[in-house]
Amino acid sequence: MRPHTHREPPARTPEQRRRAIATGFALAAVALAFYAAMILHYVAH
Amino acid sequence: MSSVIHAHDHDHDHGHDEAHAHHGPPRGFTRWLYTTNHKDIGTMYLVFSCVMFFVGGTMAMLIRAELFKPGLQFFDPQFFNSLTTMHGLIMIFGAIMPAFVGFANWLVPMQIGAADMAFPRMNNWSFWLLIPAALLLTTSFFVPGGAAASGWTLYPPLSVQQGIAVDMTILAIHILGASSIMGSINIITTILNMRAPGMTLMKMPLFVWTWLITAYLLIAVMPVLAGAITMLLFDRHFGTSFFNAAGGGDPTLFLHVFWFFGHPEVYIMILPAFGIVSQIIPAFARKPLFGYASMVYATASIALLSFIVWGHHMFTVGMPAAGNLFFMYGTILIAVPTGVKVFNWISTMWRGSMTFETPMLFAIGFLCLFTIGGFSGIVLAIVPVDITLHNTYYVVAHFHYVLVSGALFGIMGGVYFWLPKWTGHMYNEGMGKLHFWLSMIGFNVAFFPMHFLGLAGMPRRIPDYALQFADWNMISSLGAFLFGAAQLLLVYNVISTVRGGRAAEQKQWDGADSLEWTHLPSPVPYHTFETAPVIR
Repeated sequence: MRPHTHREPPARTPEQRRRAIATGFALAAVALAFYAAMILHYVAH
Repeated sequence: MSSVIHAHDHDHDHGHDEAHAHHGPPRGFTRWLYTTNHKDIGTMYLVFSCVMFFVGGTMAMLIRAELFKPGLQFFDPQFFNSLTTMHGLIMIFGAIMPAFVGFANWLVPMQIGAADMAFPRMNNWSFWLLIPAALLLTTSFFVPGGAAASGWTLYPPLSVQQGIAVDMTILAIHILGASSIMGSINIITTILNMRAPGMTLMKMPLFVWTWLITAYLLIAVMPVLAGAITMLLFDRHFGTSFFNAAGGGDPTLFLHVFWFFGHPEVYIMILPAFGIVSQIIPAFARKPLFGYASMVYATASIALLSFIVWGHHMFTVGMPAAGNLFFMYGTILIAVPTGVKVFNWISTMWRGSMTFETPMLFAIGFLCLFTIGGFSGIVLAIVPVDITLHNTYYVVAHFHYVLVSGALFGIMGGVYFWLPKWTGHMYNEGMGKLHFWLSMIGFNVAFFPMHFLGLAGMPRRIPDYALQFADWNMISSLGAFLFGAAQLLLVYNVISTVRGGRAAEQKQWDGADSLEWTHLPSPVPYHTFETAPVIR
């Protein structure tokens, strides 16, 4: 088995892990929304 | 930088209850390929950045060799344009940005008392994406037509017309953008969710604050750049006319979209340097940072203002006067929070017990030279002046004062500052100081004369020039060669520090007070803060 190279898991509590995943997905959604909105805006014009 | 203590190097068979949390790294290449450790990934980012710095630096030396005297010396104009384009792209996306992400990986978890980044596997992926992107950029020199030659800004119509190298560049920038966005998500999530008990936002070291704000900037503007180059790709291959006037599009639209990304990008490259300098100066002045809260608010103000000033890069495209005035005043307004920061750094030094080790020299060099770059920025913000100076060497001088003596000096100061913590060894102080002074002299000899050349009307991005510009160009090239050669000292010093040297103390610098100095030994163990420290 390959040894872990980070503390596994990095989150200290399940609640912290849940909040981290929610934050990550929210930020990714913002980035994707910016990308899509910009292109669609100019396609619409 | 790889000499972190492997404190718990036993394997799984040991039967320890928390064995998963106590392992050191595997050996060999797989350690680096599979690593999810923030320190390993930070090291890889910094090494990558250093390699790209020398690749981009070699291009700079070639550019200055060509410009050493009037007339075409070595290269045809097309190749010269490829050199300036790739020098810019590689230095921005390959050297400066990855260096700061390297610092963030190393320092953010340690400075907030976290065990690692929030998403270690994504962290690994963010780094390894850089390699194909770098290969695409550098190998584009060898495809038919040569590397992209439209300038790092990839303005159409040139970027729509050139060959396959532009497609490689577009793909590379998409990959680098994805890497940056993933890195930013990781950094924001780590800072917002993984702080140790008691580490409130307003107790975080300034470096963490500046990176938090930088990461938000990246998430806001990287998708915009990606959108712009996606549209460029569609114009090139799929029959659209977003930027093609012949098809009803407008090349100026690309400028607006590009600079909506491009100006915040400038702050993406300078805010983390502000953070590094804000840690170095208090450490060597042996005083707390003056005006901590105002530093935080000034950083946030600079970031917000960076979204409303993009038009100052395109005063000459024929915007309405009201638009030009808006962008001019907005740009000049940025001098206010930037001035707050500069005066806070000076006030931190005021009546401090200062010593001038290499990190402090780079921080003071940063302070003096970045301020010059800031002032020439205000000059260029004034519309009638900019219309005269647009696309001249004055602009080249301005942004090199911001990005070399600003961002790069910040990086170098940071490397010397944290090298003892990372490696457990002290670097050679004499060689560090020599590196600083040669860099300082070489940099100013290279770039200060460019102000004169620009004021006299020498345009940028040309391989040949009128005879009246010969003297200052020759001096500028000599300075550039000195600056380039001086960087070999940095590499030698870093490598010899990694390999050995006098042992560093836990708190190597008197006034350093962030967690990595107060709570962790030098070198730092492979796993840190597995139990969260409590901050009072």
